[in-house]
Amino acid sequence: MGCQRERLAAPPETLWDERQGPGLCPETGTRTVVGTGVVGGDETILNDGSFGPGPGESIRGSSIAFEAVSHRYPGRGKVPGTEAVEDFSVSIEPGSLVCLLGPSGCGKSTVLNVLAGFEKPTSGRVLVDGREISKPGPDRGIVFQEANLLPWRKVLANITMGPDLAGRPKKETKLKAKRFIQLTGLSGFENHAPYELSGGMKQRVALARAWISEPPILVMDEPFGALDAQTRIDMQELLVGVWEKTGSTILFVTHDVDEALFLADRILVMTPRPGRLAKDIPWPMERPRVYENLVVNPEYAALKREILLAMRRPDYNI
Amino acid sequence: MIGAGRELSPGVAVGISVGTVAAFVGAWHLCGRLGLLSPAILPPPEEIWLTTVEILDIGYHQIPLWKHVGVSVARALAAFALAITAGVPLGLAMGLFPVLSSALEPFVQFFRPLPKIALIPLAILWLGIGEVSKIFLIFLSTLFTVVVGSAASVKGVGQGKLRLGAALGTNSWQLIYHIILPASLPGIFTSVRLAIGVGWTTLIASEMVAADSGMGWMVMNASSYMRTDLVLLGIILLGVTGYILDYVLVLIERACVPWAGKE
Repeated sequence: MGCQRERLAAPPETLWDERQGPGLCPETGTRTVVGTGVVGGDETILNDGSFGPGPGESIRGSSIAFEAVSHRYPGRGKVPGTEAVEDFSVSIEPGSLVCLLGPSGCGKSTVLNVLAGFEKPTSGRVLVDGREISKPGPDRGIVFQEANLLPWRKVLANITMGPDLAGRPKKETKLKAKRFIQLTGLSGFENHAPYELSGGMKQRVALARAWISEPPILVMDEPFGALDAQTRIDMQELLVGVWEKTGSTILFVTHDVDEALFLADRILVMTPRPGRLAKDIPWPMERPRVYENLVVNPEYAALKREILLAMRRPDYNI
Repeated sequence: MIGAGRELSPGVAVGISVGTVAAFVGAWHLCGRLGLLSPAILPPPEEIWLTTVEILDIGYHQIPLWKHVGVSVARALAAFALAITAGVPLGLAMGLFPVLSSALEPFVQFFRPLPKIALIPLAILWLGIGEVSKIFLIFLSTLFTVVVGSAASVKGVGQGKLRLGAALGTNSWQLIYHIILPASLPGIFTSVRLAIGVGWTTLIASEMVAADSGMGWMVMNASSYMRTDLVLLGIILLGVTGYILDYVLVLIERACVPWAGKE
């Protein structure tokens, strides 16, 4: 109780601070929610109606199906072509958070680029809600490795770019922007230039920009890979927190096993090049997950070992 | 002390620059005083100052000094304006459409390094000895650098930004207007600054074409009378005017693309 009373006493706008981050309640050992609800530890301060629809209600996630997808990068002159992905087949449930895990250069980004529509598969196809995709589109929000913000637009204008270009009503966009700015902890930074922000803050903008169009699918390519360890954990908590309140299907590419184990409902492990699906592991660990508790959980340790073996020594028989 | 991107405070930077110029002029003055320089070959700064006062009073060849400066600047600005108006869109188009780029590349790369002085006879033949041929020569020497620079800026827009545009669902015009154009602007500004530097050097050549006023003409004319002081005055005016032109461009660039170099 002590933790809760203390938390609620502080004014909400001063609570959110990147350096401060969410705290651990010493009495119960569970996460306390700081500011805008980064972790779903305590929903009571979130469900005051100010964020629009409740958890998981605002976006209907799409299903994704990779059907025997192979992708080969053509060679040039004496440089031979590269078989990046081979016979990759997976079906992903609507609204799930799936991590695609694999060593560097295993073709996981290629899988993601095919889903995003940036690359056409050499063979096979990708279906979204049963329809084959052929080009990029706003139904699949993308968060890149780099925040990729447009420096000539302020933070707010970066976030609202998608709806603005699509000609959505200004009033609706403004409301949505407000919601996602609060959810991503960007309040007060709306009029900053992107180059005035830290790496973590830039990725928050990139997240808000991807989410504001309420895409049924969110495609994420190692978005937190370039951040320092502390900020990375904060961002992972932020991602899960917003995902639980919205409901997009997320395909998240990473090479970080801990990141996958913290985020995912299901983990897909790829082999080194040519990338194939090595393991498909459901990971129904209950949420909210608390990093500090997770790392001493025996199930977590066992699964981490299994994944590391699959990634690093594909021939090893467990 | 060493470091790209690290900058001195504006006061210190200007102070150092003023100091080096003052030291240079002081040394020049001292060399004259000590008799190390023959006034016919390199007149000391005080003599150039006296000449300046005299020319300000009576003009050169019955034309006031400000008019010589004004005529040259007007010629150059007219040519720059034409070169930018034609060159930036052409460069953008070449950057956007590879077919156009391949079609025009041979001409652009042929004319860009060509010394424009070589075109003086043709310019006179085609356009006469009036203002048009002078502006034409400066225009040509500016145009191709603008074209090449603008095309390169467009081709240099990062894949990440283009993919972002595609993922946001932009159509072609939105992609050009909202992503490619603003992303190319810093590069376009750089190429315009470079081009204007090149164009300004062509001013003298263009004023060799039967001019009777202008800074370039003044330098050439004074040299035939062995007026080294006037030659130096003309050179200083040309240099300072070029400096000011570039500085004005820097100010415009800062106002238009404050994000240049910051990503």
